[in-house]
Amino acid sequence: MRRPAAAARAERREHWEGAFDPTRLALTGVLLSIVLLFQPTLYGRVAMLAAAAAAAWASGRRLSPLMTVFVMAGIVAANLLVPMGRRLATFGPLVVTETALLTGIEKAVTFEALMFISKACLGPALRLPGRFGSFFADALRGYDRILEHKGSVKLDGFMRRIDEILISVYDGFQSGGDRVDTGYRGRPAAFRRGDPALAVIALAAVVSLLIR
Amino acid sequence: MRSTRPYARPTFADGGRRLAAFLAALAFFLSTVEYMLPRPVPFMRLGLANLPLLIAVDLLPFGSYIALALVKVVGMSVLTGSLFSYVALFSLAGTLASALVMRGLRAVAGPRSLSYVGLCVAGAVSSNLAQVALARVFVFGDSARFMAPAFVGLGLVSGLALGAFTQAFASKSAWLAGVLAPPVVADASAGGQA
Repeated sequence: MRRPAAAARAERREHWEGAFDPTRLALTGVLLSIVLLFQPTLYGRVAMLAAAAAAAWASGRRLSPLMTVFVMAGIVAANLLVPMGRRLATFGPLVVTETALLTGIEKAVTFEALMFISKACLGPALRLPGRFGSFFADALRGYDRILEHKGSVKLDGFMRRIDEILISVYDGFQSGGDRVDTGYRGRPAAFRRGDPALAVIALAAVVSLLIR
Repeated sequence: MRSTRPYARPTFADGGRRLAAFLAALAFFLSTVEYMLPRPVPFMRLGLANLPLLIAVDLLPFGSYIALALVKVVGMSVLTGSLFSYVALFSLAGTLASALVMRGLRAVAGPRSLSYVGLCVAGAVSSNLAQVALARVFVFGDSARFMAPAFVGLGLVSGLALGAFTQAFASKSAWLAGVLAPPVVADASAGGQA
């Protein structure tokens, strides 16, 4: 029998989070984003888009292929509105020109590839260092407390219910009685089984910059 | 303009840091709630997550206010997994532009001269203009000029709706009234114990 999609996604997410340290994964994401932006060829960007989409799927994030195609088509179409380069085709008032088309495709691919890299490399388990990190952890803690009341929010009486939730959570939050560890240690976490894979991916991404 | 600053923001022992963190948490929550609500038009968002920032204009000192704007962008980008994408950059530019415009407007016009509706419309339009400017550079090129009118128009509509919602929330909220109420201080002359 086929498993429900949500259960399969949750399972993939659990595997993914068990395999990678959130900080190392986020740092790899930063590196991949930079490599993508400096990728010299369209083929390289398309390859990164495909790899990032596969990684985002494996990470258990919710994805929408239809929305991805729609957004990419929108970016390409918008870039075609201003003709640039050799004329390739004409559809009524729309003139398809080579430079505009290639620029549009490159921007669309970059846009979505960055999105997939983010989805694969970032998660709520990420903890940031410093004062900002502590502030961020406080906000996430408040979010967790408020989220416990999510089920009680209905469209009917929406404003009143939000107000009741704020009243019930605010005092405990302000007093800091439920303050928890931010999770950031400032020293390297233990080895994870996904670490070698991250190292290989980072190396391959940097090497790809040399391929023309 | 009728009045300038006919109000005073409340003071906090920690500079409003904890309230800012709480408002950021509320922004994350409202973003989650909005995700569940049906949209009147595809791609049109009310921007409920901006309600805490709007309320914070009259609550927080400038440092905590900007920290709230930043943590809202970073937090929502981490939670939705878009931190390394252009979406986060657009969100950062839009949020900072609207936060600074709303704060600047409040510096010259107090709540009796300028309601949350006016503040929110100004914030939404400036946010959308900042995003159109970035979209021109990174995504759409010169074609961005064709999208700008519709995008700014949507900002106007969503700004009006969110502003009206915030105005109603601020006038009815018992929680906000509690935050704005001055703390009760024990009267030392009445023989209170230390």
